[in-house]
Order: sequence, then C-alpha cells, then structure tokens
Amino acid sequence: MSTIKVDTLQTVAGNQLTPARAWLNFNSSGTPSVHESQNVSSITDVSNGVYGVNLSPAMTSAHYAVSGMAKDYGSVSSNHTITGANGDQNTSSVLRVRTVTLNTSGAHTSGSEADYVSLVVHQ
Amino acid sequence: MSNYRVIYEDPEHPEQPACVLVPSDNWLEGAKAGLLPPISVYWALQDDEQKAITEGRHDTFKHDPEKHAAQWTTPRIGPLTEEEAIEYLVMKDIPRHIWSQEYNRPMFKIVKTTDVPSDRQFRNAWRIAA
Repeated sequence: MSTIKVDTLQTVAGNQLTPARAWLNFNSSGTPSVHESQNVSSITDVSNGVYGVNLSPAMTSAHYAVSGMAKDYGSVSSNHTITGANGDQNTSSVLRVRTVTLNTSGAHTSGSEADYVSLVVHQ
Repeated sequence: MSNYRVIYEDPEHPEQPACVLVPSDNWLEGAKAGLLPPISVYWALQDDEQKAITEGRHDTFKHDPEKHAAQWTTPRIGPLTEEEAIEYLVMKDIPRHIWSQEYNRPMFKIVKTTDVPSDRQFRNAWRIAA
C-alpha cells in the first residue's frame, strides 16, 4: 500500500479540492459509542441529544462546514435531524451538535438520541 | 471498542448533567502506534483560541500557521498504552479547569465502559463518587 502526501490538491484548471477534514459515525443511544471516524479523537455526550465532537487535528479556525444526518435503525415512527447546539460555541477543535426529534409536521420537539448519527466536516 | 469512558462534571455549570467522553477507536489506534504529538501542541492552539474568545475576536480568528502545522511536524511522543492514551485524551478533550484544579470532590473519573449506565433516565442526578 502506498501513501500520498501533499499540501494542496487542485484540479487541472487550478481549482482547489478540499476533501473532508473529519468525519464520524456514532450511536448516541444509551451509552454512546463511535462506530467509525477519521480525525476525531472523541465525542462528548453532553446532555440528552447534545454532543461535542472533538476534532484532532484541530481545524485552522471555527469556520468549517458541517453536514450530517441522524436516524434510528429499523421501523420507528420518529425522525431525527441535526442542528447546531444553541448557546455552545464551536471552536477549531470542538464541534457542538444537537440531534432532535421531528414530529409529523416537521417541527422539532425535543433533544433526542439516535442510533445512527453521521457528520462530515469540510474546511 | 475502548474499555474506558470518562465521566466528568463542569463546576462552572453545576446545573448541567454529567458528561461522558467516548474515545474514538481510530484515534486510539493512532495513539497506540505512537502517532500523537506532545499534548502541549494542542494546549498552545487552545490557549490562542481561548484568548481570541475572551478578547471578542473569535469571529475572525485563525490559528497561526506554524502552530497549527505543529500538529504534524512536531516529533511524536511514541506509543502509548490504552490507559496512557485515555489520560492524554482527558488532558486534550476535557476543559482544563476540570482536571487541573482541586475541588472538594472529584470532577472526573475514568471508568470501565461497562460501568456507564445505559439508561440515562436519572442522569441529571448522577454524581461522581470519590
């Protein structure tokens, strides 16, 4: 197996390519566990549905982009979504997220745990 | 999966329930393989960012490129055992005032994964025993 080490990736046209800086998939139900991850040292289960993702290495600033999804396994009636955790400041090394349950109208009802939470960080 | 979790309380937020720190297996493998930089590299970054937050300029804050690159360029500290890696993680990922100061009761505890209650119904009442 070979390893490629470069400082910058670019297209032929000179546009910079930015692969994911970090990603993870974890189960937040009950005792949380990290299924798989890259460039994440740990997660912090802060309170019901609120998590801190500890990034390692740290990003260059707190201005990174995050995408993600949350769901339960099997056939269940509740849907989840991911938001930022209000009141908790992201830093270059800690990303705070909140998983919430959506009711049938699509409005979120409360913080909740999910079987499958995945997040991707780009910068 | 790691055999350990870290439970901690934040004395600055006594109203909040206890937090559970869950190590990433991938990171643990790297720690055991000796891929980690000295913890001081992360502290330097945390200190710079905390200063920016305190001074109200976090919105425009960016790490010094040299300090940021130190995460890769600093000589590695060598292989750690799982227990040593968890101690390193405590110092890296748990706010410093929680583990660096003395309080009249323990504010964090490294526990076996199997000792963490899976039912969090009464979690707001958790207290770390001495």
